[in-house]
Amino acid sequence: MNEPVLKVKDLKTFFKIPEGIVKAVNGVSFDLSTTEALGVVGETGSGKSVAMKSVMGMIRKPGYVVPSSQILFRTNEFSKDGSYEYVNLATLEYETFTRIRGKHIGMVFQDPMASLNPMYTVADQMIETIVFHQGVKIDEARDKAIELLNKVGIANPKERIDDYPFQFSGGQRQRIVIAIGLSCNPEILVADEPTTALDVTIQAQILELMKDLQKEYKSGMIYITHDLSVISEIADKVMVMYGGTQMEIADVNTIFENPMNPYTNALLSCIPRHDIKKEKLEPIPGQPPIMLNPPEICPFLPRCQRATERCRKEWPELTSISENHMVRCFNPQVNKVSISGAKAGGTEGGK
Amino acid sequence: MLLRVDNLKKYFPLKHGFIVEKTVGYLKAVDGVSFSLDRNQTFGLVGESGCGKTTIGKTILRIYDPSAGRVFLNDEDTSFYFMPKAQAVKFLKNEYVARAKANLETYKSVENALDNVQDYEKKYFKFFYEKGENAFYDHMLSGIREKRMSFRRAVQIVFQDPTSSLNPRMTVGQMLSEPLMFHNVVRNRQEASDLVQEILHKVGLKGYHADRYPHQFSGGQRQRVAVARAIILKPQLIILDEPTSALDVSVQAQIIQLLKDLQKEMNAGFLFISHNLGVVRYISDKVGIMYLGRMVEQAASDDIFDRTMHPYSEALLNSAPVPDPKKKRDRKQFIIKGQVPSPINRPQGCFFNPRCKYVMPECKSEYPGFYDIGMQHNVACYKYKEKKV
Repeated sequence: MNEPVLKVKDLKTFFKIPEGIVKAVNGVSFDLSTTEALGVVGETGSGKSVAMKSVMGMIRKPGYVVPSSQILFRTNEFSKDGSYEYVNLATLEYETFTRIRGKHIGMVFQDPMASLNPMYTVADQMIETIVFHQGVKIDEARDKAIELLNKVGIANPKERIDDYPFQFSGGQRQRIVIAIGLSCNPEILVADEPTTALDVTIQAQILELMKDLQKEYKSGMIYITHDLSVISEIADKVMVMYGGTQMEIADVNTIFENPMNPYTNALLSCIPRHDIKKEKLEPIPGQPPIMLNPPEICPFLPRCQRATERCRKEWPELTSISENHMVRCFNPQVNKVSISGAKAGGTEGGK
Repeated sequence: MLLRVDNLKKYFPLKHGFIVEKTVGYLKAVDGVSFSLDRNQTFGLVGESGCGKTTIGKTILRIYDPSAGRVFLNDEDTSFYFMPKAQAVKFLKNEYVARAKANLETYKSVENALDNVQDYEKKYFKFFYEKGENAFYDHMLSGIREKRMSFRRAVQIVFQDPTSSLNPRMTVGQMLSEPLMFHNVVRNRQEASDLVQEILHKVGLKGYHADRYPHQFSGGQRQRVAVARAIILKPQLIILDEPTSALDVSVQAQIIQLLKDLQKEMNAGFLFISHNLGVVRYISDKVGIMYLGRMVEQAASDDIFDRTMHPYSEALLNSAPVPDPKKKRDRKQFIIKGQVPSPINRPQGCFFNPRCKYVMPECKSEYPGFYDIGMQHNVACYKYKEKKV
């Protein structure tokens, strides 16, 4: 089963507001197979969350997915004979989408206190999902929920399942949300900054847990974060976003060792590290772009050091540099100046 | 020494009961922390949420009064500055008078007693021995208003979230000139506005930004305004409480660079509180790692990150991911199980012993003291008992 479970082609999501059109996502393409973890990295407002919400069909008015976008999801949910086919999620009705969302695409959000309902016990919330999507009896669903809690590392799941969310700590709550996300054995798990609200030691626990569960459940994972360190830890493939568009996509070693896009490169050189002494940080000058009615040029242009005359006139298309390495830039360059600063990353990427 | 924190403690009473409240226990947010900081130096405080690092900052700034322990600014004890008079007298009695009397009894002569106190507190003891108890209180509490004013001028803070620390109803100009007027730095509005312009340029903003409201700025610009407000009185000590946590990495780097440049220019001391280890290593000269209200390890910045000794520091540093896929090691061995215990009900002995993999019998009975392993690298762990210098 090597065919990608998800193929996104030129995804665009716009928001129509009285002042004009906000191009929150403007050209994102990637493939995802069920054994891969795709890391999506970008700053605030880069459109990383909106892009993944589009994949999950969670864009409500005034936002819309531009009809030319393709979000092809491989599933047998809608076929009569049970064979697998690609369904374009971009054109799916909101009501029909409930058969995909939660069942085939699981979700984990940033703040577990906001994604769990404080008025219901953990059992209620877990059983609801399982019964709705799998049509099993409540007792059976409860057993399954207990098994899941055990798997995500909650001690005494039998007693604790009847507790309310506030009775759990932050890390435990996030474990519960992960359990709910995985409860229907989805083909894709979308995690939107799941460890941002947690302390580093707890974050390490959750990251290990997610890596293990992804392997066990054989589901593809899309991991959204602003933290490049976390990305390097968990992702197989990395997509870098800026100003609503995808700047670069490649496997994790290539991104960190041979970044071709000037933004990726600048981003890597401005992270302070605790394991290596850095004499000087190189901040990216200027401010992130405003997404309202942006001109049809590269959004990074005002802050870019490699800008040329051509950049001011044309929209750069995503071009393939090598297999699995796509860059959106007119002047792609291999930058051997890697993140370590002191010693340049010389060796070739790859596992 | 610009700042000296000596055995600082901050306990929050836990009240129970209706109408008649009873104190049933204490939350020991900060429980005996000592460190010092010179001008043009940065001390980084690291720890997970709930370890008391922010409480230390707030206690130094005197948003809270310390429960015990002292805070020296330029070798002047400032701990009692903002206490009501009766409380201040009680504090002085505990910290100085009682000790001075006990010392005199043990060492018999005034000279010997004076030799056995720290250099920075000698002048207080001397005054007490010479003039007596009541004169000592009067001396310490005289001119307290001026002392308060100069303390407020000398110590400033930058908070984590500029959206909530800047008043949405004031323009940047108003915000920045208010402290100037209050402390009588300027004589009229024109002078204030000139100074505001100068400071805005210094933090990388434009002069016309003075007429804008906080909501008209981006997150990074707002934090620049907060920095401007902190430096406008030319303070000696700035407490930076997670100043970059709410910012994106590219903007974070700008603010850190700005802070570093300003420090050189102003010759100020920074207390940098953060949970981001990378930022702390980059900006700090000295670093202290905290766990449950106590410092577990303290050393020079590079030393503590390259030669991590305490089991908790080891776990913390190895939990933090590194932006380098080649260093994606098997971290399972370092991951600490469980969570931070409640600060209300801390474990017996070393607070880290229930989660520590090197735990020894003595760890469970008594909290370890600091062991110096060389190069002023102090570790509170029994593992390093033999290496004591």
